[in-house]
Amino acid sequence: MRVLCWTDWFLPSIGGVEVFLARLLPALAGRNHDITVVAGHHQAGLPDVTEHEGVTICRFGFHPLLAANDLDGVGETVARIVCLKERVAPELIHLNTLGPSVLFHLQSAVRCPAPVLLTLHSPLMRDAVGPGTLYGRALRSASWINCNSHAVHSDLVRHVPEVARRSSVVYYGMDPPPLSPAVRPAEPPVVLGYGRLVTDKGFDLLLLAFAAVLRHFPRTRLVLAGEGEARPALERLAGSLSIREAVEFVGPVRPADVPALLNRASVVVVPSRWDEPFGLVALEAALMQRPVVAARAGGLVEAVEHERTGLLIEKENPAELSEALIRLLADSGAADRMGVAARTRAIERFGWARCVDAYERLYHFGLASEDRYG
Amino acid sequence: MTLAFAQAEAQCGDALNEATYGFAGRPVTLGVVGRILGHRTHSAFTHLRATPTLPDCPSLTIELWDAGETGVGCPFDEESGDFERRWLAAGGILSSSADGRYVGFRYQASLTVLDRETQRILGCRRSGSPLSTGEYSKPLVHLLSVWYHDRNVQLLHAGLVARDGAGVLIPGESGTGKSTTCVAAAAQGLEFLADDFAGLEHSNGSGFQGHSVFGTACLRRPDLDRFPDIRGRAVDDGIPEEDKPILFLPELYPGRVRASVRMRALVLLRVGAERTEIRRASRPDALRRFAASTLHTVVPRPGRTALERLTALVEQVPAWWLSLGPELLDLAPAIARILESSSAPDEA
Amino acid sequence: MAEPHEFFSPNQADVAAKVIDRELIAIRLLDGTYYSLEPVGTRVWQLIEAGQNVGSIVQTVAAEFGASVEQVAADLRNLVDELLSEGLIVRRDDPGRTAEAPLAASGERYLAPRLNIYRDMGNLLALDPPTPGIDDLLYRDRKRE
Repeated sequence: MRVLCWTDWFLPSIGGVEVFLARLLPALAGRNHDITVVAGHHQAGLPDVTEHEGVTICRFGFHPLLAANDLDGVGETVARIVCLKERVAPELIHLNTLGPSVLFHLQSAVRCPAPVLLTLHSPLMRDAVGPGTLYGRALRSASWINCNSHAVHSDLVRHVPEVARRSSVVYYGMDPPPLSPAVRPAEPPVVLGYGRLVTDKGFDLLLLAFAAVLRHFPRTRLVLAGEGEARPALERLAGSLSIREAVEFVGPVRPADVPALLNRASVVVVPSRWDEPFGLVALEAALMQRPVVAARAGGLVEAVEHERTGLLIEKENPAELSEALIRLLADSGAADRMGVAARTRAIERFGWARCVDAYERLYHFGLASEDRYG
Repeated sequence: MTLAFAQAEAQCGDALNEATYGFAGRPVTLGVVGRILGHRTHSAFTHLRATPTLPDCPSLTIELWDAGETGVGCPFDEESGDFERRWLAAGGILSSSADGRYVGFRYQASLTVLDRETQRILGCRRSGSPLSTGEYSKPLVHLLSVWYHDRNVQLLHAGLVARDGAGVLIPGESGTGKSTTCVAAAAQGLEFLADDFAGLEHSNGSGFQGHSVFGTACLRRPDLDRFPDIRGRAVDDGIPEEDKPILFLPELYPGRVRASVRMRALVLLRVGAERTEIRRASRPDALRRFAASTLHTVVPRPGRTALERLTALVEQVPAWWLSLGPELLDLAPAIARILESSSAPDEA
Repeated sequence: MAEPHEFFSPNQADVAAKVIDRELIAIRLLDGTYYSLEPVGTRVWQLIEAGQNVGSIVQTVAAEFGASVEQVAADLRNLVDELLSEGLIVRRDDPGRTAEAPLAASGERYLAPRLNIYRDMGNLLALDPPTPGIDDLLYRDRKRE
């Protein structure tokens, strides 16, 4: 099947959608699907056309043209998209964004119509799905809408109930990495948090909780990996809590190095304050046999099974977070059992082959997989 | 960090490659310790070589070294708290001290820092990994963008060519054909100053000046094939996925690469037309073309003064649509016609 | 309610518009709202630009797209009202000079013209992660030349 996959972001940018598509699309190409990607130019100096493991990536400067109200540029780019669509002649358009670039898809769709499979990778913005919006139009014009978690799906149905009958849930998949899980460090124990260092991820809450943990387990270490605007504030907070020496800021970590990072941890924390669509960090940790303490936020409640594969705590509650951490550090037997259960569950429920199969079914029928809602 | 450079130099003195340049006419010394790093870094600037004139202090001193070859690691701790602010930008991490004095850029195996007080760029690279196409063809572009800005020279995302000292600026996004057009200009006997980044400066006496920043151009392979004479001399040592070989214009077209030129015309390019045509463009069209390409693509993003300067530019310098047909040889005559039809801007 | 004898023109002061391949994209510059029109609506826009009055536009569109005059008249009234209320067109007192309208493409099916409005474009653009600006790196003590 010839598929045009539309996404705002693709490698070398690093984020949930990019990393997922960078694995999914070559897997589908390997099953004899002809995949072409349309993506935005988000970094200066990237070539317009590249190749990634058998998949062609075509980039366009969507965002600057719209931001500058450059109608000539918009027109030229729409014309180029039309040429691309005519050349590729996709049988299906797989939309992975509801961002401003969708205008170019909609403008070219009249000339080159094709059914649209929309994958929602994050919850909708509540106040922007009405009829007078690009968002709303793109959503309603999709033949089928797939969500990456039940949390995202519930949000969709709450705000746009008329699309419920043509929607489904297919989780991201992930296989265990080649690196085997190491024994969890006990002396000293290590608490790990990683991701973009921004306010939404709640790492300040983790620092507050960790200060309390240190009073019970003074030799524990906290490792924070990632980069972002909040980092200087987090470093200052660690200083003002007098825990700076127990906290290691590692900086950005490439996806390929995450398993080794996880092997350094005794327990992994995802303290998000925003409703995470899914919680890839929790899944990665589970595959490396680490128990996870996560906030009850969005799809994290699907990624972590409370008391079985980890502990779920209330959002924005550092006291409850510290209690959960202390409990796991005090009872390493229970923590070990949770880690093993987490890995077993991750392999069963979130296996990669199952995910690719489900997307292939979605592609073939434009219809639901067996994870159909209702 | 200056101590580290001195150590690197002491370790490998015979691998020191040093020269003086004029960046927008300002004296700059560039010293690199490391054979390959030195050769590659200097290659982008050869057309800007200048004779050092004592006792002028350089406006900028650049000192870079290869950590692997010299055995001297990067002593600067970008994570020490001196770099209060950080952004993910241009595929790397741009950082700055709270007062803006230091600006750092970490990209893959390199860390470079600009000190705006002492007018110094220092940089260290872990060896063993290939330079990206960007680092090889446009070294230090983000920090230089800040340095140029401090001298009221605005870096634009634009090509710049000239004929008999009359400059033609070609704004545009990647993929609009400006790199191919600028190389074609050099091939047809015109002068080349930029394919992607040009400096714009304004003075009351001399109007708008365009400055060359790098003497390189990067073309995709299908576009490179349109230049069979030079195709085999494109450099291809960068990361394979990028697949945009680099042309070093001063070597390929000696005498046709210049440092600065007076701006006489703006050209809004369209390629793929049935035949080559020119017609006057409106000021809003020209401004929109600049805004789209420069205000959102150059890192750090230019601010309000850039928009004001661009507005003044489109008011003073005539703009033209150039629709280029399939025959690249139409380019030089089209540019000649544009320049003939463009009257000289008023002398202030 | 638009009457057959009325003339309108695009609001050039506040609106940028462009026809790209038989589809119109327009921007209300005041607030960055984007609009689009499909081929029938775009044809209406072109005829407005060319100086035809409402009645004449109805006749032209009905003939070009093979639709009934009554249907087109009803749809056109709705479209013009919407274009007016969004500030994309303004009433004209005098007809001015009638310009040559571009030739219509043939073979398009008639569909009731609909104005697509995208009020969220500004918000969507703002959501993209910001690149640092030079103004974020102000250094007040920098040496000036």
